[in-house]
Amino acid sequence: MATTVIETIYFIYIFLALYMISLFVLIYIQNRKEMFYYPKGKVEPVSIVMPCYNEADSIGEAIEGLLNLDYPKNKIEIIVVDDRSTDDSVKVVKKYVKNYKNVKLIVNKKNSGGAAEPTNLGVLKAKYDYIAVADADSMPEKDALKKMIGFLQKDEKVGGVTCGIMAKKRDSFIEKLQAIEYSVIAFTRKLLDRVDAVYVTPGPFALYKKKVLLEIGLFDTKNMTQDIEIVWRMVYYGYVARMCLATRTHSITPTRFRHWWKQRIRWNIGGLQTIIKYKGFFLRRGMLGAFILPFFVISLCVGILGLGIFVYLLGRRIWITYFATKFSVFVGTALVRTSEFNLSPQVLHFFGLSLFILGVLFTILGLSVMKEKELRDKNLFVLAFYFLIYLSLYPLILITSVYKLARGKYSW
Amino acid sequence: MVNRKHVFWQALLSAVLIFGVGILIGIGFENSRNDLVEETLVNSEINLLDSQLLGTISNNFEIGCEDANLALMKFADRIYNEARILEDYDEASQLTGLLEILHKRYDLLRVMLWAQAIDLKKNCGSDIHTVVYIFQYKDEGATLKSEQLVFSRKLESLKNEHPGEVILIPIAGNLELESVELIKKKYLIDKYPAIIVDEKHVIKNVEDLEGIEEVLFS
Repeated sequence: MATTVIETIYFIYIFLALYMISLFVLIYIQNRKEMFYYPKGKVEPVSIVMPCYNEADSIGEAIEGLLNLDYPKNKIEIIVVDDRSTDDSVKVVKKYVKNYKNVKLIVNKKNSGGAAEPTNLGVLKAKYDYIAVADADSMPEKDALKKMIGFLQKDEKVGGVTCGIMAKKRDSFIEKLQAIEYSVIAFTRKLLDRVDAVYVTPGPFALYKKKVLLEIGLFDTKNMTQDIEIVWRMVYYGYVARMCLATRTHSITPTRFRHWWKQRIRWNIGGLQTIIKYKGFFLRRGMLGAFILPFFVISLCVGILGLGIFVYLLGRRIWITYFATKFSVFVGTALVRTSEFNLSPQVLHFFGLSLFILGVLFTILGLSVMKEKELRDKNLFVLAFYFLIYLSLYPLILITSVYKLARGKYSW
Repeated sequence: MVNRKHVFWQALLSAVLIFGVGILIGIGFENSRNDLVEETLVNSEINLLDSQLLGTISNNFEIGCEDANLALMKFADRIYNEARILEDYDEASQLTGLLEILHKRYDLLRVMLWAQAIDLKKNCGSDIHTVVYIFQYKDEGATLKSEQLVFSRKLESLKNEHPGEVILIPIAGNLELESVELIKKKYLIDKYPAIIVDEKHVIKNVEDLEGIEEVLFS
């Protein structure tokens, strides 16, 4: 064998990626008829907790959305918990409190700097056995509660259920990119659901059993992604989270790069905090240790190592080019020769290309399953950008998150 | 609900199968390249024998030195171009180690070509110039790689500017070939890259590369 260390690492990468694609495709093939299945549930009262911080622009629409849910009005209470907003959020909410008996407002004593504490306050004040948590900038589809509640009622072991979180607006380029990403995430999350490996019940809209939340100790106020941590803790306690693809919640996505970057850093730091918290369960404790934790750890290692190798190769290339150019100028010879461009393809190129094609096909499958025809068929440039540039930013986000976490310099 | 354990094993099996098939195809692909290089090498070996024979018969049958010179130059150019293809394939080779052996055989062929050129210069008083480039094969650090790149560029432009006068013979210095080791010892070559010009001068530094034409044609 003539492979070097770096080539060996690339082969390992390729194998891991091949494994993940095979896993997802096999799960899909074996479950394709059940992707949109949901158990029919009984209408039981639900308390919807909505943490809020400076959401004056969107919270009115979000509350309207909840009030318009296809669910008996007397079976819903909406608890908005304001985390000391500095804008007119409280003023907006008060209008609804005045007009609707089932809308309540709690104002936190001081700003907590995250969503966990206000959510916990709302859960403790909630009077019903089922708790939905909703973001103040998200809109669940009308049938969300009806389609999700059955998952909790039919299985004692189910502690929480999420739905397909989709990008609400698709006007700008960055919104379209996120729309593709959200669709693929929703699709893969449903696939993970089929192997009991849902690892997050995202903030935009999720439904829980109140007794489970109380039993496991509510949302972790120190974690940047309390919606990930809560699921890992549920799994630790022997519960499972489910994913209902039959309904969706439409969430506002960042429209500026810096907001997008900040959001992703927060997600990654939260993920890292969760890994650290549960590191002792690696390869133990059912799906948490057997799949969810290794899945995250391997993704983390692969991302950081990949970026490290990329930086090393790029640095080496720059070094060689710099010195070769300097010496070439000195000895008065050509700065480049056509023979220096090696056009003989390597086996790794074929592997990489095959994997890239598989990745593209998988994404297209995801968009098709999610019925995102417009994203799939009319946005070729966005799709190309998504594959070639957008996804390449993930390792950079990861390494920045590791750095910020290590230095303890992060905030919501 | 899919059987959890089964699908993880099935995925592993599927990944191993696809990966294995990919590796096999890759090995087949590289072997076909190796076969091509080997075939070319065999042809070159025949050509070298032919060239050596030409040297002998030019003495015995009084055939003109000019024809022998031309034949040697043609052969040298040919194996120089073949060497470049070999380098390309070698850099692209990841699964099979056969090219390293072929590289050794090519290096021996080049040493023989050099010896042939020296003979021709002695016997015919030929005015061809031999430029032997001793380089490190693989495992170069970034600085060495950039130096070797500059040496290659300079030698290639030299060859292009004086096509009928210069025989360029690149030889890997670190493949543990006895003949190459002896050459290195004779010319006190302890670092790469180095150039032996007309069996008299040795250039070891990038700084001295600028004056190679003066050394050659003075």
